Formats: sequence, C-alpha cells, structure tokens
Amino acid sequence: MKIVLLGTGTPAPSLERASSSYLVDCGESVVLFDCGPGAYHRMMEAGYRATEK
Amino acid sequence: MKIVLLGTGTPAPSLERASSSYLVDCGESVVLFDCGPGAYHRMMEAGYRATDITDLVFSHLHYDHCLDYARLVMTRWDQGAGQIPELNVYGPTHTARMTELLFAADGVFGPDIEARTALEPSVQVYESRGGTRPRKTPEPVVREIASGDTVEGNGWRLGTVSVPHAQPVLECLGFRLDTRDGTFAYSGDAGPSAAFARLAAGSDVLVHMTYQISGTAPGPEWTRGAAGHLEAARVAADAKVRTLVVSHVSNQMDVPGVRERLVSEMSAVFDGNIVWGEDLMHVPVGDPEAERHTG
Repeated sequence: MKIVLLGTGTPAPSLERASSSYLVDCGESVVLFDCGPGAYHRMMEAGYRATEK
Repeated sequence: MKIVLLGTGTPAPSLERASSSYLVDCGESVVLFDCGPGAYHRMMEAGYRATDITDLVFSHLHYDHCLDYARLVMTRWDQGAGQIPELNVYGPTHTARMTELLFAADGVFGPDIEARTALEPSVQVYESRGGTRPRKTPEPVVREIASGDTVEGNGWRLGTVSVPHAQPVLECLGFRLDTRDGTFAYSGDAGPSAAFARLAAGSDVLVHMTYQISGTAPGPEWTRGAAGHLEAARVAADAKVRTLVVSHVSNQMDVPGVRERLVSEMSAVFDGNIVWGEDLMHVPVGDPEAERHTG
C-alpha cells in the first residue's frame, strides 16, 4: 500500500497546499479520499492518471 | 490592458498546458475568457486571486472550457466574504442552467453553501475575513448571450459571433473585446469562420484555436469545427490582426522542430506576428519589438 498526500490544505487558495485529497494505492485498486480543488493537479504531479488501474 | 494565457491546452490532461483560459486585465476590471480545468491553478501562478476576477466569459460549455467555474465561484465567494460584487458571467445558452445546477439551494453545492451560511463556526470564519451577518449565498450574475450581441462592461465592450464547432448540440461563440488600450479577439473553439474574421478585424491580439496540422484531420467535418495551423493563419490574415496567438495546442503539434516548421508555414499566409502560446505567457498588446530587451 502506498499513501500519497495530494492536498493538505484548507479552502484558502494556495499554490503550496491544495485542498483535501489523499490517495491510497492498493495495487489492484487506487482509492482517492476526497477530491478538493487542486487535487487533480497534484494527482498528475504524483504520477497518477484519472484512468489509473 | 494585460493579456495572460492561463490555459493553452486541450481536454487532454497535462501539467504543461492547462485547458482553455485567457485573462484580460483592463485595470478597473479583470475579464476571464473560459475557465477550463487547471485554469485556477494558473491564475494563482499568474499572481491573480479569485476575488480579482470581475467578469467571466464562456465561449462554449465543453468541459475543457468551464470545469474550474465551480472552483472560481466558490473560492471567490468564500474569500470575498461579502465585500466584493458578485461575479458577472456571460456565455451561450445553458450558462444560466449550469449556474443554477451548481449553486442553487438544491444544486451541487447547495448543502455546502447551507452549511457555510448556517453553522456558527463557518459564519465566524466569514466574519474573521470581514464579512457581516447575514451571510449571503453565491449568486453569479449570469447573462446569456447570442451571436450578434454586444455587452458593455467596466472599461470594455464585448462583441460576439457564432463560430462553427459543436453545433447544434452546443452553441459556440467567438469574441472581440475592445478596451481603451487595444483590442483582444478570441475564436473560442472554432473552424475557419469569415464572420469571426470580420468581427476580429484589426484586433491587436487574436487567440485562435489551432488544433491540428492542416491536412491531417480525419475528415472535412473535423476541419469545419477545428482550425488547423494554416486555417488559423488565414483567419488572422483576413482579419488583419497585429498578432496571432496559437493556442488549444495538441500533442501532435507541440514538438520541437515541428512547431517551428508550422510557424514558418503560417508566416507565408499571415505576415503579422505569430506567437506559439504557452501557459502563463504575457502577450504584448502592441508591437512585440517595442518590448525587446537590449544588452
């Protein structure tokens, strides 16, 4: 299992901290907890695609 | 007038090119054309805040032109804390319905908006930002526009014409924005259009969809609704603009060496300035030579 923090911020706009999102890669599936603004950008930066697995 | 390219890409996910969005800073107002996914991130990188945006113009409602609308409105509402006017929104038919579906009490964000306006901790956060009770809900001021309409704004006048792209399902518009400092034109997503070339005539800066290498489209239907590099150059030549910005750039074209060949071929059709658009680029309104650095 891999745990990647995608967004560790708040509703306040920030280039440093995206709003809430956490990715858990279980191998056979990839689970995203929350998907706040900026999460998609961080997901791409983390090397994951919307279509993953 | 400052023109900043926020998103010069397509629907294809990319860290280099966000989806469509262009910012025109008129001083007393800041107009955003389209707000595709990634636009909000680029807006922050460009040094603008959601609360700086006064007007939003949608060319059409393909998601790569409007997916960050919710992010802009919700953040602007939250950070604006009732201290700034509502966002003015202009767009083709369905813009009002989309807005209602997102932000009305029974809409996508209805429960969130109710929580933030009703629960004491959220209202206290709002007060800490300068807000006063009662806390209002976000209510963008939407005006749906159609081909031939003119809109007067704070320091600008917007003209619009229908352009061929995704009709009859989605109406698609191209624009001309006149300000006292110059004129910006934006094709939206479009194939070559004589009507749009007439609207854009004499513009200082024209951003035109340039989606494929001319001659490589799968068929004529495609080319009618999406300009290739030579079609975009022809529109710029017909409209006699000063500067053409290549945008809505697909991977096919975005290859070092290929793009230089394309610009070279375009310059045989259009003798003005040609800019290969990149995210966060500031496009000179006047003669680019005047901005040349010495030494």
